[in-house]
Amino acid sequence: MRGHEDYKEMLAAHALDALDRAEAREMDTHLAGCAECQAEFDSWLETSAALAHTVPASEPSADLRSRILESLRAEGPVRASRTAPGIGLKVESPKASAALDESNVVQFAKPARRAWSAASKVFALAASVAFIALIVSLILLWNRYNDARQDLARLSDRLNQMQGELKSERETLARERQTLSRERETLAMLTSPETRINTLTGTEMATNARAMFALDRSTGRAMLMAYDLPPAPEGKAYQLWYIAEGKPPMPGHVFNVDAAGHAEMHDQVPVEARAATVFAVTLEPSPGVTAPTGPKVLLSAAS
Amino acid sequence: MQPEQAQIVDVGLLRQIAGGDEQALGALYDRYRLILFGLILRILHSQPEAEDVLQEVFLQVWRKASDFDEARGRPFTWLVTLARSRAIDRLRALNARDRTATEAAREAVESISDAATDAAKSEQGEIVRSALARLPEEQRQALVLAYFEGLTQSEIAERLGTPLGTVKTRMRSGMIKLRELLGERVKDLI
Repeated sequence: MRGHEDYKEMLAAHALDALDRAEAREMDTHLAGCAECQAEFDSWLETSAALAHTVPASEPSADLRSRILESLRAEGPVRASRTAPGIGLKVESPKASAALDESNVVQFAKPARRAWSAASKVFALAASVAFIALIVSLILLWNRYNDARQDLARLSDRLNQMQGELKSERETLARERQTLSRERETLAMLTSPETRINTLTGTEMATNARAMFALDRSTGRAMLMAYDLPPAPEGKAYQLWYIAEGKPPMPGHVFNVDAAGHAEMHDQVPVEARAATVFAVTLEPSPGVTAPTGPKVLLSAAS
Repeated sequence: MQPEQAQIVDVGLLRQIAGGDEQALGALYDRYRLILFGLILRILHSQPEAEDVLQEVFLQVWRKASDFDEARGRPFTWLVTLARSRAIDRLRALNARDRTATEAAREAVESISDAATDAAKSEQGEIVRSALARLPEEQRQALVLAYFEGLTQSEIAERLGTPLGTVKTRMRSGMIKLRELLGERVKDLI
């Protein structure tokens, strides 16, 4: 039969789980009844646990955390402990947990502690519980705060994106409205009873070119649609002229054509030019001139 | 975080866990997964087995958090002891199933133990590694075979062809020397 001193000798090996099964069971029985050995065993566990630091840290799979938290849910709420609080650091020996029923696991006894006065003990306990609860709450709150902040950042990104989309939709809508209102004006102008429509044909300068010119004599609104006009040379542009009988040609707007040779030009014709019967387009220096200098490119028949 | 603060936080987390707070378990996992997984992986040499055991360890923490008593030791010690115990259980179960694998694992363990001894990964690791390195070779060997391979004193004696009494003396002297070398710093090892 072993005595107290024999067990004391074996404590360090027990902290490494290196005792044989039978020795380990005897040891656990002794520890349950010997506060001195239990306290020394606890301190040996500190030394053996330090050996974990000799191993390089290693990262488990990223999804393990969520797998563990899910398995807790499957497990249900924590059972009330069958042991009284304070009994303690119940370290199951591997041999015991591998080979024995859980009921055989020896509960380690509570070690003897310095006797405190009841009042200071209660006060210290209350203070430490309050302090710990505060620290833990702060950590949990901090985690929740960080989660919320990330959610907010994601939502804010999404909002910015949607605002961008809305802005571009609005711009498109504004452009379409503008186009629509221009088309309405054009239609109103073209269908006005005061509007006369003239056809212009290309001269030898641009034999394929042709144009339509509409002028509302009551309002002075006018529109020219030209087709198959060659692009004006560098520094030059086309200019429309209003020609009334017995008067010098009156200048209209300057315009240019797109790559397809098409132009659409709107003009507001002054009152004195509305009586014009002939319309011509010449090639002029690009800012436009007050009297024609260049060759005629398009010309209407007198109406 | 200072070691004392870390300990206060861990004790608080364990209380929250005992009260059924899953977020607290998540927080404890975040704090200890690296060192515990490193330890379990070192013992088992298999990523899937080690992850399975780490999951078991945290389930055990969930069930047993109310058994933790801070007067008995630090949360770090409790967690490491629990993790190592689970890993050694698994190692023994695997060994019983496959003797050949055991031999291969032993060789792997021996080669890796040198690598681990050389690798200075953290300041705390450096403190313990240098203390371990100052032990006489045969004492260090006894500690490492028990701690990382779960061998009992009799199994070590058989493996090394050394008398059992000699192995017992080496193990005890090694632990005493290690405790001496670590001294008060053992409390700062979180």
